Formats: sequence, structure tokens, C-alpha cells
Amino acid sequence: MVDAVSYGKAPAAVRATNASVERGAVVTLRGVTKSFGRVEVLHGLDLEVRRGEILTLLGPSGCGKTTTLRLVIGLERCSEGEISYEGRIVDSRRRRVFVPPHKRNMGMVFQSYAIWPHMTVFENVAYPMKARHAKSSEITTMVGRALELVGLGGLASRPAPQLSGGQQQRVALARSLVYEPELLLLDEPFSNLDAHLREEMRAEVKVLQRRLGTTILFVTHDQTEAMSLADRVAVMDRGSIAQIGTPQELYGTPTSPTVRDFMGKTVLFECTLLGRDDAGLALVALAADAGRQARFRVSGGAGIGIGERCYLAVRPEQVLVHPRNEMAPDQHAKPNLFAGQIDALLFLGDRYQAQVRLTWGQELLLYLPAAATWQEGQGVSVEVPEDEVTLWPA
Amino acid sequence: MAGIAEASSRLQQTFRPILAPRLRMSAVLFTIVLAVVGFFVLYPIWLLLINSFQVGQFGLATHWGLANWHDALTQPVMRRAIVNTVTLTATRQSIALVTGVLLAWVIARTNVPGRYWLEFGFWVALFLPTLPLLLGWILLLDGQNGLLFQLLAKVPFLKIPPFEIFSWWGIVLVHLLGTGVPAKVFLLTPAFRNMDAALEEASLTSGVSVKATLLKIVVPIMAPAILVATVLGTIRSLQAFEIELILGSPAKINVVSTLIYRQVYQSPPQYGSSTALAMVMVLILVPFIVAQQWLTGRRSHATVSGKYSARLLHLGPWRWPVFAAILTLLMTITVVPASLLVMSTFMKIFGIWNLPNPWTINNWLRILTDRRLISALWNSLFLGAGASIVSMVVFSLIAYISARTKLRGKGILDFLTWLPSTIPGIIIGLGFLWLFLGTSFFRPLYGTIWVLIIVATLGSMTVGVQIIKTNMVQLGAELEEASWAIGGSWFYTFRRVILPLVAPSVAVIGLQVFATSVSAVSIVALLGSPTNQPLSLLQLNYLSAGSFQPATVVGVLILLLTSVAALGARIIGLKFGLGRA
Repeated sequence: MVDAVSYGKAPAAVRATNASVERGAVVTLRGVTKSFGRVEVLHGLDLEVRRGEILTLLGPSGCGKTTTLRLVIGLERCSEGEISYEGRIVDSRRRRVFVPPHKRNMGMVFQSYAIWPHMTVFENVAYPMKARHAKSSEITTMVGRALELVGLGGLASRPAPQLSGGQQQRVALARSLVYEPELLLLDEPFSNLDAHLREEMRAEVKVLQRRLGTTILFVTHDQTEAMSLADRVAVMDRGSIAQIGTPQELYGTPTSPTVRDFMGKTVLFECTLLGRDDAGLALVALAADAGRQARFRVSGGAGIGIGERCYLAVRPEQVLVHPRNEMAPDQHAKPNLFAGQIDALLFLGDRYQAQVRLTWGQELLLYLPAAATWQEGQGVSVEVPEDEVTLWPA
Repeated sequence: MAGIAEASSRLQQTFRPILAPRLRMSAVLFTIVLAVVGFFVLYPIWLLLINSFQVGQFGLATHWGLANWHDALTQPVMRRAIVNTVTLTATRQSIALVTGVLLAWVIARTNVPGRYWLEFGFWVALFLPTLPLLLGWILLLDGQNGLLFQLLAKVPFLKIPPFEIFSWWGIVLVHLLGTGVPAKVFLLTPAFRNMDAALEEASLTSGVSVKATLLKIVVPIMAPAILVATVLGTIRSLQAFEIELILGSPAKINVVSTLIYRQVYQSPPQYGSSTALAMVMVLILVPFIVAQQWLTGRRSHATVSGKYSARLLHLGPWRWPVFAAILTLLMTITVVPASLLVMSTFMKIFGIWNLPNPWTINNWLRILTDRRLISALWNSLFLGAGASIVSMVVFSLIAYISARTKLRGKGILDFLTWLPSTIPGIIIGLGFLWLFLGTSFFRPLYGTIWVLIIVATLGSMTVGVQIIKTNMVQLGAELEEASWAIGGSWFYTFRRVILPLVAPSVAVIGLQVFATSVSAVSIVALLGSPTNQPLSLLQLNYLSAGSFQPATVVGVLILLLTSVAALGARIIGLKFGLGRA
């Protein structure tokens, strides 16, 4: 038949003319737009994957993260913009350049693993080597090494349908690593594994990447996975990148409510900004609790004017909960301490999760240390730490 | 039958009293259904086996012996028929397989435009009745007067390759275009569509081109589905009858089914040797039947994991050329022969285009006066309606028992339902001929339309039951159990829950059975008589007598009846989102 995606006669990949190569970018996307029919799923995306890093694309389903991955490897073609790989343009409609996936020499692990059921483990892993016309002695060595690397040394002759989910995952990994591609693409590779195995594989992939130095572009909708695995995370929202940075940056100082809520749970208090000083301290009046005033060291919310309504946000694990009867009476008056009651208590093993109702009726889902004894109906004081909050426009 | 009675009494004992009323009722029903289906499926075959060892003229003194079998295996004419059957089947299947795999892959896995319409087109090609369309093919490809060759002759400097449709290759060609290729596409496209696209994509990203991926990944993974389609196609090819009868006659090409037909209709009828020949045919079929059972019973390994994506490959600049090629093929196998058939009904002499004035409407005016034609039309309508009603009732019962109950011996019923699809229609017909002529109890039925209704129902049983059963299985037992749990009786549940939910699929089967019964030839060919002769047999008789002109009008009537019924079935099916079998 025909090549998957070859439109017209494309000249051999053109040398990219910018400095991104020297800056250590393996893949660069510039102004990439992708439409399926009339639906535009990516809008002018700019992205750079740096050599040796694990970059995670994180976002809800339908945000365009898998499409981005498929564009990088060439299973889809850009509608606008261009993609370069190792300094060569591999996809640009304007320049009439398109390198089909089988000529890009990248590796990809699919969500469903895509282990070919009619082959053994060895044949699966040897397949890309045979496609590259490697010598049979070389194939045996490389396949053996790749299988060893993913911990499947003894299973080479096993037929693919007899593998467990975790083993299929490892075969898929070995198959995409065996020809030592510069870039490895992983499309939600752990989503079909059970929770325990998922954590194990995450750690293994990270160790493997550190050892081989392969650049990895990783797609997931699981923020824990993104944070634990990545050197940098790009949060995607409705076809563009909302924020990109280290996991710590994104978790601690998100720049938009979308990123804030996607990176973790948030507790919100409605309030009015009364004033702020040069040191970053802000005085707010809570909308509830008779307009109680409290002072916080906030980050963000630069655009909020004095007297405007806004939201105070804090991660639930930063919020401290104290048994009310164990506190000195004068402490109750502290402005960042709110009275409440435990409505429901859920034991999680290492800690408790509690639904706490504050005096003005707001309900919060908070964590309590397992060391103390708690009971439902108990009166508590909820302490919002003074320097862990962020301020958001209403 | 003793075994069944024993089984059902054992059933009644093993169930707890509280469930007894419902289960006893279904057990009784089950026994009756099993007995009736078992009788009509197995007894005719048994009669064939017995009678293949009866030597002597029918109606005269006979004795046991192997003479019939000896004739079947040694007479040159019979040996040639067996060889023809096998070589024709092998040729057709190998060509159909390669073409079908390629077409199914393009329709299911690439972004060729209008792929759902293309798939629908092959479905249309598959249901179009064989004999009427054959007339269209003859008109187009006849070696002397064929329209195609007359047109080609007008093109200067073009040397026409000589092709005669009344030949071995003519039979192959008409089979391929009419059923061979469309059937492969129909069976394989859904299977290809369900393949995880990542399996292909993983090969592309490993550095392998699309062409090599198709050969190294897609075809091997699809091997089980392709094998099933091949075995089914082989069984169908071995059963073929009417095309061979018409196209093979001038060149004296016989296959087993046509030879059986000729021996029954020659004077005096050779019942003995035709019956032995029928048993030889069954023996040839046995390995394929076993293979089919084994393949469908085995779990296919087509998908390793449950999750899959169904993304399509981009054909790029090839998109429209590929579309145009498939569309041309579709038009050639549907619109072209059908229009030629309709055109031919207005011709004075079939296939003779160069008369001074070749056109007339007298053929159609004859309908109003020809009593044979009018009676055949009524017979066809009665046959279609009768088979359709009987099928809807019986098939739903069988499907319900098979899908919804846990009765022992259910496997036997499944086997009996499946068996008729593997036995050539002409052989089923021969078995029933023995049944109706040789059993005094049934003899009064011979020559009535009821005989045809019974065999037509039997001929549609496998597919019909399968579709209703699939629908019932999809519904899930919970729906039914929920009704019992809230206090609905068995009958109330059946009436208010099951019947409304399966009604669309049962209606679809009713219409499909109507269509197949009206166009059925081989299964009714030996059971027709002047009194019960439907349109299809009238057309066959005209054709085998060489009078093509009157056959055209009959052909158009059959085409109309089957098209209306089949399209009705399709519309209901789409409206209620029924999956295909």
C-alpha cells in the first residue's frame, strides 16, 4: 500500500536554523496547531524537550496531551507550525516536510502496550532490530541486554499472550529501548496496572532513565505520577500549555486555578483584600465568620486591588487540626484559627481524613495525624498556616 | 428420543421446588423444540445415509449394497464433478481471500472516504439474489453477444481478450463478484476494525513501513478471523449450485450439486447414485466443518488487552484513488448487473442488441396473463411470509433456550441449529425428498408450499438464531432478574421485558428470512412441483431450458421482493442499533 502519512514529495528533513540544538533541546514544537475536521485540539503549542530530562504532559482527558505525543512521533501530522527533532525539521506543512514515524527513530510505549500476540517476548523485542537490518548476533545481544534491563531475562521464549500486565509493560519498554532511541515517548503507560505495580514501575522507569540518560516525554492524567516521575511538568488545558516548570514550582506556586486544582486538592476561603505591605503580608477579611480579619504571607494575586473580593487558597495537608479542648483559651482568639467539628472520620492507615464543618457551615476535607485519638462529633480548631496560602481573584 | 425424556425428567428433579413452575415449563418447551428441530435436521440426513446403500430403481424392488457408492466414486462423470467442485472452490477462495483481506483492511483501518457506505455497498452486493444478477452478467460478458465485448469491439486498435462466461473461469468470476469477495469483506471488516490500532502503530514507531506492517503484524494477528472467513467461504463454495448449473451446462461442466440435481431430474431418476454422491459431498465437507467448530470454539487472541483505540491510517494522496477503485468495483458488482437485468426485461430477444428495434414492453404485459407467473408470484409471497413467521417464532424460542436457560442438553440444540448451514442446500433438499416421498405420514405434504416453508426455515436457522441470541445475550440477565426480583411472573417478565427488547431483532430476522426464502434456489430445487413452484424455481427452469427472455421478468420480481425486505431489515437494524451477527 502506501506510507502512513506521506503527503506529496517531501524533501529530506531540513536542518533547523535556530539555536535550540545548542540549548540542548531534543524536540522542539513551534506554534503547533492540530485540527481534526473542524475541531481544533491544539492551539499554537510551543514546547521544548531538553536532553536527558523526563518531561511530563499532564492534563485532563481531551486536553490534547496524547495528540501532542502522536505529533512528535509522526502518527499525526501538524496542521500548522513545525516540529524539529535533533536539529532537523521532521514535520512542517509550510516547508512540505514530513518524516513518517518509521523513519524518526524514536521509541514509544502505548497505553495498551501493543504487544504483538503472535510473537514471543524475544520476537517482539527483536522486531525493531530486524527492521533496522541488524546482524543476528547483534540482535541476540541487544535483545538480551534490553530484557535484562527490564528484568525479564528468563522470559525471552514466552509467547506474548501468556504475559501478565506488568510483564507486557516491561516487554513494551524493552521493545522501545532496544534500538537505543534518543527520545522515548510514553503514553499513559501505567494506567492499566494496579496501584501497587504502578508505583513499582514508576520507580523502575526513573531508575532506568537515570542509568541510560534517555530523554523521556511522558503523558499522564495522574498528577501524583506526573510529579513523582518528572523533572519538569507541563500542565495542558484545552489544547495549550497552562504552565510548565518543576513539580515543586507547579505545586507550590501555580499561576492559574486550573493548574492549582489539577496539581492537588485545595481548600478555599472567600474573603476581601483589605491591604498589603511590601513584605508580602496581606490583610484579609473573611466573608464568613462576621468578617473576621486575618493576616497572611501570601504569594500570587498581584492583580487584586484593595477592597476587592478574592479567595484564599491552601493545600489541605498544610492545614493543622487541633483538638479544641486541649488548647489554651487565649489561643482561640488567634485570627487564623477557625472553630469547627468533625462530621465524619475516615481512617487511611497512616493518617485520618476528616470532614470538618466550620462554625459558619463551610465543610472542609482535611487530614489528621494518626497519632492522636479522634472521634466524630469532636470539636476542633482548624489552623491555616500564615505563610502557606495563595491569593486568587474571585 | 428416550434420552431427551430422561434428561428432562432429571431436570425436573434437580431443580428446587420454589423455582419449579417456571423451570418445568421451560423444560417441557425445551423438549418439544429439541424434538422437532432434531427430527427435521437429522432424519433427512439419516434417510440419505440409509438410502445410499439401497440399490435398485426407486419404486421397484431394492436390496442393500455398495453399488451406489461404487458408481459415485468410479464413474468418470462423477469423478470429474468431484474434481471440479474442489478446484473451483480452491480457485475462488484463494482469489477472494487476498482481495477480501485487502479491501477489509482499507475499509476498516484507513481514512478512505465514505468507508461506512462502502461497507454497506458490499452488504448490498451480498444480499442481491444470485440468479437474477447472473442474467445481468451474461448480458455483459457473453462471449458472442456480451455488451462489454460489443462495446470494446468498437474501440479501434484494441484487441479484445476472448472471454466466455459459460466456462470454468466464468463460474469463478461470477462467484467472486457476487458472493466471494463481498462475503469476505462483510466478515472481516468488523474484525479488522476491532483490532487495537496501537499494534500497528507500535510497528510503525519501531521503524517498519506501512506495507511491511500489514504483512508482518496485521495479517498474522488477524489470522484467526481470516481463517474462520476462509473456512466459512470454503463451505459455501462447496455448496454452490445455481451458477454452476446455468453457466456450466453449455461447456458440460458439472459439480457435485449440479450432478445430484441432474440425476434426480433425469428419466428415470437416479436416486441411488445421487444419494451416494450427496454423502461423498458430506464427507468432503467434514474436515471443514470440524475446522469451523474448532476455530470458533477457540478464544481468538486478536486482542491481548481489553483497552484499544481504533485510530485510522492516513492514505494521504492515495485516499481518493483508493476510494474511486473500490466504488468502481462496487458499482460493477451491484448497479451494473442489476440495471442490465432491468433493461433486458424490455428486450425482444435476450442479449441481442443489434436488432432493428430491440425493445418491447410485451414481457411485462405477459405478467397479467401468464398464469404460471402469477401463481409463482403468489407462491413466493406465501413462501416468504410463511417462512418468515415460522422463523420468528421458532428462532426466538431456540435463541431464548440457548441464551437464557441453563438446561442440560442445550449443547445438542446449539449443534442442531448450526448443522444446516454446513450441509449443501441441494443435499438437504434431497433428504427431504426422501422424507416426503418415502414416509407415508408426510407424503400428503409433497407438492405443497409447506414443504418449501419447512426447508427455507431450516436454511435460515443458523444465522437467524445467532442474531436473536446475540441480542438476548447483550441484554444481560440482570434485566430479567430485576423483573423477577420485584415480583414479576415468568410470563409477565417475558411479555413486558424480554419481548419488547428483542422485538426489533426478531423483526429483522423475519424480513431477512423473507428475502432469503424468496431468492432461495438450491434448497428448494428438488422439492418444487408445478403446484408449489415459486418465482426462483420458475426462473431456474426457464434458465436451464435456455429460455432467458421470460426469466428476466421473473428475475426483476425476485430482485424487487428481496431488496424491499432486506432494506427494511437494514433500516430496523440501524434504527435500533443492532449489532450484526
